[in-house]
Parts: sequence; C-alpha cells; structure tokens
Amino acid sequence: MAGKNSDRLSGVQVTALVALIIVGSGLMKLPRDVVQASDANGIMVTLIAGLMAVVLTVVMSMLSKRFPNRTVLDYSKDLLGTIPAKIVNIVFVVYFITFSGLILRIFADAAKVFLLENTPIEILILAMLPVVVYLVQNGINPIARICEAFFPVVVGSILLLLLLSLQNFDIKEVYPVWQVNIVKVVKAVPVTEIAYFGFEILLFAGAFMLEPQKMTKYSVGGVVTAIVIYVATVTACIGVFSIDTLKYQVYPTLELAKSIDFPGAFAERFDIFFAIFWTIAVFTSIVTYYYLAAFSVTKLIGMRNYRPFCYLLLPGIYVIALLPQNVYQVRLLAQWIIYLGTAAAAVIPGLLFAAAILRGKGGKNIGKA
Amino acid sequence: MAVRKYWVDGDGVVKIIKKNKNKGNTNGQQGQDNNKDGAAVPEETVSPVFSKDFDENFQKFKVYLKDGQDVVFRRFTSPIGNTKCGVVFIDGLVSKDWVQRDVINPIILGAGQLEKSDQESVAEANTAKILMERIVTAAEVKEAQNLDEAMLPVLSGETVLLVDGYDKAMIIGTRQWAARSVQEPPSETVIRGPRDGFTETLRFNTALLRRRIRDPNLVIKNMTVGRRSKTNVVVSYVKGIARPDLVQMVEEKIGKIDVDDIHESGEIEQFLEDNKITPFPQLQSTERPDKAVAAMMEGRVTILVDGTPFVLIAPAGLYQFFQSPEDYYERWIIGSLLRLLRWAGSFLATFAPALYIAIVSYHPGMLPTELALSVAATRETVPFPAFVEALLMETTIELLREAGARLPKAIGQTIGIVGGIIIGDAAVRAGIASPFMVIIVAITAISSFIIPSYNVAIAFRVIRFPIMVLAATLGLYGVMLAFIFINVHMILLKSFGSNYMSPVAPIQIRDWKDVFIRVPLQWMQRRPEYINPVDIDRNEQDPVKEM
Repeated sequence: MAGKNSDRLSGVQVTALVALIIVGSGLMKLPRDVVQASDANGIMVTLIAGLMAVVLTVVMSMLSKRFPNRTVLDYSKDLLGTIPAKIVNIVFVVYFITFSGLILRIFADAAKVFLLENTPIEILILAMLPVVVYLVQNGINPIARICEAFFPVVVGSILLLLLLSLQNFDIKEVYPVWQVNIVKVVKAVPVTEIAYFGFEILLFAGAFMLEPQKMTKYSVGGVVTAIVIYVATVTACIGVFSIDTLKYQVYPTLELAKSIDFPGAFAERFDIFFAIFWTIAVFTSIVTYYYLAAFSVTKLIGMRNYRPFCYLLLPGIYVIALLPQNVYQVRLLAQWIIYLGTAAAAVIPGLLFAAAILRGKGGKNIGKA
Repeated sequence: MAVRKYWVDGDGVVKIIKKNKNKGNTNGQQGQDNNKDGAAVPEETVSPVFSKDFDENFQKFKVYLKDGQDVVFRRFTSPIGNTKCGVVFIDGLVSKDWVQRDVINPIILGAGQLEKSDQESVAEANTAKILMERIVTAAEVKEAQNLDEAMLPVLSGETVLLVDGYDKAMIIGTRQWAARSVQEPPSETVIRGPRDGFTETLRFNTALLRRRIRDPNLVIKNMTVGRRSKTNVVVSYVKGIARPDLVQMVEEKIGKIDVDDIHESGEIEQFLEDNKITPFPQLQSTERPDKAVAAMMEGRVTILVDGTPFVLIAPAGLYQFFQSPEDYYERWIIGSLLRLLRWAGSFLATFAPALYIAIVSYHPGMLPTELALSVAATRETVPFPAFVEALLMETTIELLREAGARLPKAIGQTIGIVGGIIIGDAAVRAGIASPFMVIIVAITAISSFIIPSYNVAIAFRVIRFPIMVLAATLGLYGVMLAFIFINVHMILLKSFGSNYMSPVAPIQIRDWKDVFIRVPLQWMQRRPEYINPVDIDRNEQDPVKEM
C-alpha cells in the first residue's frame, strides 16, 4: 500500500501528537494557575516544570525502547507481575477517562463563556462527542495525522496571538522574574505539571512508532515545543495583565486574545479566531485520551477489539464532564486528576524504569525474557 | 475455460451467459455446461465451433444476428477455385468504403492479378491463406477461432470474412463511425494550454496519450466491463514509474465490476471508490489529455472508458483537485497565487454562508461596531432569521445554477444574469433578504466556481448546507465542529491506498512544492513521494533501457 507501514506513527507525527495534546489540555488555564501558585516566579516555574516533563519523557522513551512494539500495559506484567500490572492498568483507565472528561468540561465551560452564553453546557459537550467518536473509532494513526495536519496551524495561530499581544505588552510587569522564592517554586512546580500532562501517551505511542529508536528525539521535540509555547504565553499574559490581574482571570489565554485589536479591524474580537484553533488543539487532546481510555479498558478486560468501548465509554466521559457543578468543583476535580496524573506520568514510569534496570529486563535482554 | 458467451434460447433471444454465476442453475437453457451433449439444448442453439462449410458458418451468424436489421450479410465468390466467401458487418459502425475497397473488390476482381501458375497451384485448403496474404489489402486482420470470439468484434464494428473450406473467421479492422472530433474540452477551459480534449471514441483518446508520451513504456491495456455492453476500458500508465501494486489494484478492482452496462466513466469511478458515504470524489476525472499525461508521469494510473471523454486518474488526493494545468504553463508566481486563491475560494464556498449566519445570529460582537450596526440596520426589514434568509438565497442560487447548466448556453447566461442581478435586487427590495446576504451568496457562488474540478466544487457546495444548519444551532462552535469533522473525514478517506490528505497529513514536506504553491519547475525534479512511484527522479538517463 501507499506509504511505508501506513498504520505506524512517523517521528513527526509523534512530535505533533505530544505537542498538541500538551497544549490542548493545558494552555487555557496554565497562566493563571502558575501565577496563583508562585506569584512572580511563574515563568521560572513553567520552565522548571517543563524540564521535568522532558526528563520524564526521556525516561519513558527509554522504557519504550527497551520494549519495542509493546505498550506499558504489556510490559508492566513482565516487570511488576500480574496483579500490580492490573493495578497500573486500572490507574491508566481511570486517569484517561477522567482527564478526557475534565478537558471536555474545561473546554465546554470556556466555549460557553466565549461563544454561546445561552446554550446549556450539556449541548456543547454532546455536540463535540460524535466528532470525537468518529475519529477515535478509526485508530491512533488518523489521530496522529489530524495532529500532524493541524500542528502548524495551531502553533502558527498561537505565535500570531503572542505577536499581536505585544502591542499591550508591558515589560515592567515581567521584571521581578528572577526574584526566585525557592519554597514557592518547589510548591508550584507539581501544580504546574498538570499543564504538561500529555507526554505520558509516549508509554503507549512507542508501541506504534515506525522508528522506535528515534523516539527520544521526536518526543522531546514535542515537549520542547510545548515548553516554548507555554513560557511565551505565560510571559505574554503576565506582561499584558500584570500578575495581580492575572490571578483572577479564569481563561487568561482567551482574555489575552480578546485584548488584541486586530489590525485592519475587519473583526472586533480576535479571541474567536483564536478559539477556533484552540478548539482543534483541545479536540486532539480529548480524542487521544479517549482513544487511550478505550485502548486501556480493552487491555484490562483482555479483549482485542477496542471499538465497542468507543461507544461504551461515552456515557462515562459525559458524566465526568458534567460532574462538577461549578468552576470551583472543576478545580477540585483537576486537583484529583493531578494525583492520578502524577501516578500515571511520573510514579509508574519511574517504578517501571527502576524495575527494568534492576531486573535487567528489556533492551538487549529482550530475546531471553 | 472456453465459456460461451452467447447462445440462442428457445424464444430466439440471444442470451449472454453470465460469468461465474448461474453455475448451479442447469435447467437446460441456462446451463452452459450441459450444452455439450446436446440433450438439453433447444433446437435453434448453434454450436459455436466453425466448420469448414461456408454455408453453415454463414448461417450461424444469421441465426445470431437475425434481429439486427442493421447487420449486412454479403455473399460473393472468389474466382480462385470459385470459392464461396461472405462478409458480415454492422452498417453504420464500419466504413463501407473500406470493406468494398480492401475486401470485396480485391477478392472478386483482384484474383486476376495472381499469376496463372499461382492460381493452379492453389489447393482448395489454403484458399483462405492466399486470400489473406495476397488479395485482401486491409491493414488490420485477425483470426477468430469460434463464433464467440467473432461476435464481439462484429458488434464493435469489425468486419468478419468467411471463406469456404476454412474453419476460422477472419476479423478485418474496419471500424469507423460518426464520432465527435477532438475539440476543446468545455468543462476545463484554460486560457493558456493545449486546446484538444478527449472525445467519446476510445481509440482517439489513447492516441492523444500516445501523442504526448512517445515512450515504449507507455502501457495501454484493454479490459472489458459490462456483461451486455462489453464496454472497452483501457488502463494506461507508464511502466517504470507507476507502482506495480497500484496498477494491479486498479486492474483487480475493474475486473471485479459486475454490471450489465457502463455508460460513463463516472459509473466506473463509483465502483472503484473505497468509501461510498462521502461527497468527495476519490478519483480525479479530466477531459484534458495534458492533465492525464501529467498524472501518468507522476506515477498515477489513468482509466479510459469508451463512450465518454472523461478519463479517470487514480489515486487522487484532495490537493490535486485544486491544480489546473495552467498553473504550470504560466509563471510560477502567478501559478502559486492562483493556487492560494483557489484554497481560499474553497474555504469561502464552504463556510461563508455559515459564518454569516453564526456571526449575525450569535456573535454580532465579532464585527466592528459600525459594520455590526449597518448589518443590523439592513436586516431590520427582513422578517426571517438569518438562517432562513441564507437558506432561501442559497437555494435560489443553486436553482439558478442548475437551470443554467441544463439550458442551452446562450439562454443559460441570460438566466444567470436574470437570476443573479434581478432576483437578488428584487429580494432586497422586497425585504426578503438583506444586501449583505446577497453579497455572501454571490461570493459563495463565485468561489465555488474557482475550483478547477467540478466534482469537488459540487461537494463543497453540498456540504455547506449541513454546515449552515450547524451554524444556526450552535453558532461559531458548530462551524468549528463542522470544520474539524470535515478534516477528520478527509483524513480518513483513502484513494487506492493513498491518503486523501497527502502530503499534508501525513506530512511529506518535499511534496509541498506543488500543493499550496507551485515552485519553479526546475525545483520539481522529483515525482510526488506520496504516490510512491517506482522511479522517483524525473531526470532519469534513458527510459528505454530500463525496460
């Protein structure tokens, strides 16, 4: 058939996938969360959290390289035994379902505020789900191709947004950036880490890659893209809004877009243009997490075809998206997901990596195992 | 397997035995396998095997073709040993001049040219051979072993020559019928570029390809589709460029088509498509030989169908429908700008009315205040919501377009003017639509005509209606979802194993030289990678050697 191994992911696709998922799930809230947690150290914290994400990415890539063509759900059995592997599997299932629900909810909340004030949030969520399912049921490769196609558009639109926001940018607001308060930074980094969640898909994506040996390069590329976008966005938000205002912005990035006067003035509000591309990024995040949720459930039950779960998980994700009654409860849900995500993205890969090294499994020993 | 394709049943109807099917059905008339023993065969059934007796053979044709009153049976006698001869042909499909000049005349009169000694040495057995080799002057002569083999050529316009004492039929190439000559293709006009277009005659079309690719590697492979119509289909590609598995896939898919008749390549196209539930065409069709040849030189396969000037190109990607031959004939800067204009046009044709509805109904704040006010002022007299207004006007313009397409050219233009100007103006004056709506409708209509391929333009026009509904219910959010949905849909589409959205997704940056812009020709030394041609480099040394 056309293209070599058309069901596999190319390196560029992994870069696009990782970058878009991270940005899609985190960009909207990050500037406010990071400033609330760390005050003036926002830029620093964003950078440090990003570097941590890079470290974890490298760990995951090494794990994936040790076990080519296998996902974390497969090789955790070898490393930890059957029962702990099941627990790992369950953690991933819960994490993926709740996180995709949370992203959907945050997105729907923002869409309600910025686009459709009078439409019930249920309708906004329900309208999104058919498109999600339509893509998910066709597998990981079309998802990666969507990311690949939209990656330049999304990154381009964010860069344009940042460029245009320079007209309101006040460099003085950014100045106390090097006054590092170590305690605050240490406390803020884990909170900020949620914005970088998305790289844990590498535990799965490695199994689908065309050239797993080049995985580190491409996945770190994706995370670095996200770091650049995040640091630039946080800087822009601080510069435009000042730290004190930023703390009370619910959707700082969209507000940033709103503050722009579009040159030529054929449109009054730039935020809606930006919202279009942001929707695409969010869409890719939801789709990927939803796909991985269906994939993990299938593995957990021991079935081969994940397609039934594309439909069966819909009520679950819908309920989770509607579970929080207000923005405050959304934040509570996010808190819980930080714990789950930390387990999924840091603790589990760390444990597996340690186990792989200690027990000498994977890599060169793969044939003997 | 010598399957008989024709036989005459009890009622005198010539039937076509369907391939592979009806195997189990052996109730006499249908069971071809039972025909051999003659037990279940009706009386009028004729054995397809030729005998040496001229009268018997001639009679076979008469039985088969007795209902066709356009069939000409002509007996005559060759002076060589007073051999009985006869020709069978279909009036109107053959050149009677040729039959007379190259077959009948030489046989009846020309035998005198043979030396006396030759005439004496002619044994009865090889009269036919002498006739073929020394008397008949026609250029194209083949032999048919039995009636089945002879029947299709006769029905296609060849002449059958039967000679007494010879148990084969000679097929003499005499096809000539009233055909449209090569003309400028009306559906794909260019300002600069060749003016010749494909016609309804398959042979002319293959000749147009051959004229442009004078390479022995050009493959022109005949296939037949349609149990009754026996339509000739030609699969053409350049060996050494086109991927063998692609060629094989095309041929297999065409071989699997099982229908009675084929009228147009559009029908073949629908049989070859992988995805049936989509408005987007998965094969490109063109009337322009230069377009077909360019595609073949990129490693694609073309499918020519007898009886239609539209040639299919496989595989097709979305971006191909935005390419016009003119992009390459004009300077690259102009070609690139036109290309970008077309992409923008396709976006407008799909989304302009939906964006209007969404902005007017849900997000008037998006517009600058003055504009928003003037839109609101003009809409004040309109009694409908924006969606109904848009739907009315868009439907009207589709009606006009369809009416214009069906009417004779001169009237069609009048309808366009009457519709576009008068109805638009009247609708505004009557307060049915706002002037902005009329502008939007006009822009949409014009944009949809900017796409060089009609089949993709119509697809974009069709999908804008569901998008309008989404815009009316969910505003910009709905338009965004529609945009994502369309992209997802197109990414899932495949055309003969190639991704429809290639080379955008999956990205093949090298192929981008010919997608949104068209770089100078000197930079396009490689064939598009996503088609995966055997020979990626355009400047190969000597194509003939690679055979």
